[in-house]
Amino acid sequence: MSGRLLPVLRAALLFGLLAAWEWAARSGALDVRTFSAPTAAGRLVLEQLRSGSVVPHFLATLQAAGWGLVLGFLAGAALGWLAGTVRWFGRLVEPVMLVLNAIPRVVLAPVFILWLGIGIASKVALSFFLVVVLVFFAVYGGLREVNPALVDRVQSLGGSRWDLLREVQVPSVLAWVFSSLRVTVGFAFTGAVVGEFIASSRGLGYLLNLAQNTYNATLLMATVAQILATVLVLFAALEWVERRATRWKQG
Amino acid sequence: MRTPGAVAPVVPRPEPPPAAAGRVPRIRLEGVGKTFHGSGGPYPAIGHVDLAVEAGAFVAIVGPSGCGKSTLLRLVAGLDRPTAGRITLDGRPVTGVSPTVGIMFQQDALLPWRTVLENVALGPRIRGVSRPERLRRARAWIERVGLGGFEARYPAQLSGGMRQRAALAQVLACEPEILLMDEPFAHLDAQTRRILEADLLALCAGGSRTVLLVTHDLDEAVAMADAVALMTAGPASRIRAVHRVGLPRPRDLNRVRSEPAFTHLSRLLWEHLWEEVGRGRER
Repeated sequence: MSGRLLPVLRAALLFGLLAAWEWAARSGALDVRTFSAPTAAGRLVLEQLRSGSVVPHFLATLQAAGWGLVLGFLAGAALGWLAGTVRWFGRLVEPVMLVLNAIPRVVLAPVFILWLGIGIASKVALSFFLVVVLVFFAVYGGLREVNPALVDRVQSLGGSRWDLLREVQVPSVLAWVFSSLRVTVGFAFTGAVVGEFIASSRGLGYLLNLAQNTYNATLLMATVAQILATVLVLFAALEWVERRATRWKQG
Repeated sequence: MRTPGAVAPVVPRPEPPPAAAGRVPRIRLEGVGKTFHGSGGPYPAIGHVDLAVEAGAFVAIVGPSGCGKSTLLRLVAGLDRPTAGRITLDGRPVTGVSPTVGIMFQQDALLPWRTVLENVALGPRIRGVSRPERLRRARAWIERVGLGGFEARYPAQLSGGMRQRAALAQVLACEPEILLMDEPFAHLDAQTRRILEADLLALCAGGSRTVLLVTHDLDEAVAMADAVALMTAGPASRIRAVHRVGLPRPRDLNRVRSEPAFTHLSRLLWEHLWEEVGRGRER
C-alpha cells in the first residue's frame, strides 16, 4: 500500500466510525442518553471552548501532570544515575523498582487521596509515582548499556572521567530517555487524570467523574475527546523533539 | 633476509642506520604475562612474551583465534595492566594511555551521536587543542583518508568502510608516533579491505610511525609488515617466532602478493599456524 493512501484510509475509517455512531444515535439504534452522539459532543466541546468553562479544568490537569512529570523526572534520573554508578545502591534499589514497574501503579491512587487529600498534591503524587519508575529504568538502563567499545575509544584517546561522562555516558542515557519520553509524558497525564477522577473538584478527570455521576453522556464524550486531542498534540510535539534530538540515529 | 625464518625477536626498521645497535626500542615487552581472574578461576591468557620493535617498524602479530593477540595490544596501549613482566615505550614504562599512542579497534567505535568532523576532532579536543586548530586538523585528516564531503554525516549514515576510514582519521588526528591496530579491517568486505590496506600503508609505512597490527589474515600481515610475529595457541601463549618480510618498500599491495618471497613466507606462516591450531585443539 502506498504511503499516501494510508493516512487517507485512516481518516476515512475514523470518519466512517463516527458517521455510523451518529446514524445509530439518530435512528434510535443506540440510546442517546447512554451513548450521546458525535455531533452533540462536538457542539458541547465548541461551546465549552467558546465560554472558556473548560479552561480551569484543563489547566488543573496540566499543572498536576506537569509537576508530576518534572519531579518524577528529577527523582527518577537521580535514583537511576546513583543506581547505575554506585553498585551496592543499584543492587539495593533495582528489585524494588522492578516490583513497582510490574504492578499497575494507579491502584495506589486512593492511597494518595487518603494521605494527601483531594487537592492537587495527591494528583502530583500519583503522576510522580508513575513517572519516577519509568525514568529510573531509562537512566539506569542507559548507563548499564553504555557500549564498552566507546568507553575504550574515549579512554584510548586520553579521555578523563569527565570526558567519558560528557562524550559517552550522558548521550547514551539521553538516547534512552528520549526513546521513552512519550510513554513518560503519557503516564504523567494518566496519573493526573486518574487522581482527579477518583476525588477532586477540578480537572479533566473531575469532569469525567461528574459526567458519569450525573449520567451526562455528552459531557463524558466531550471530555474524552478533549483528553484524546490533548494527548495527540502532546505526542506529536514530543515526536518532533525526539526526532530532532536523535537525528544521529537515522541512517 | 632472503630466507624468512625464525630470528631474534627484535624487529629493526626496514633499513637500519649504522648506529642502530644499542638504541632503545620504541616498544619493548619483557616477560609480559596476563592472567585473568574470572568466575571460572584464573585464566592465563598470555604466558610470557618478549618483543622489541624499533622506531618506524611495521610489525604484524598473527596467531590462532583466542591466542591473546588483542589482549597483548590492549596491554601495549595501556588500557589493561600486565600481571607479569614490563612494557616500555622509548624506555619509559607504560602506566596508562600514552599520548604518543593511537589505537584502532576491530569495531569502528565512533561516537554515534557525533558527526564525522566532531569524531575526528575528538582526540585533539581531549588533548586541549584549540577549536580552530583541531577543526583544521580534523578536516585535513578527513580529506587524507578520502572522506572529504562527509564531515557533517553521522556514523549511522556511513558504510562500514567509510566508518573505518573515519576511525583511522580519528586516530591519526592525534598524530601518534605509535599506531596500534586490532584487526581494523576484519569486518569489511574483501574489496574495501584491499583499498583500505593500501591507504593505510601509504599513510603510515615508511618509517614515520611505528605500527603494531594484530590480524588473523596472514596474507595481510605479510603484505603490509616489515616483520610478522606468530603467537602460539592459548592459554599462556607466547611468541613462537618473528619472521622478517624481505619485500622492498614502497609496496604495491596487489603486485606484492605474487612475489616469491611473499608466497614463501605466507606458506611457512600457514604451516606454523596450522600446527598451533592443532596444538590448541589438543589442550
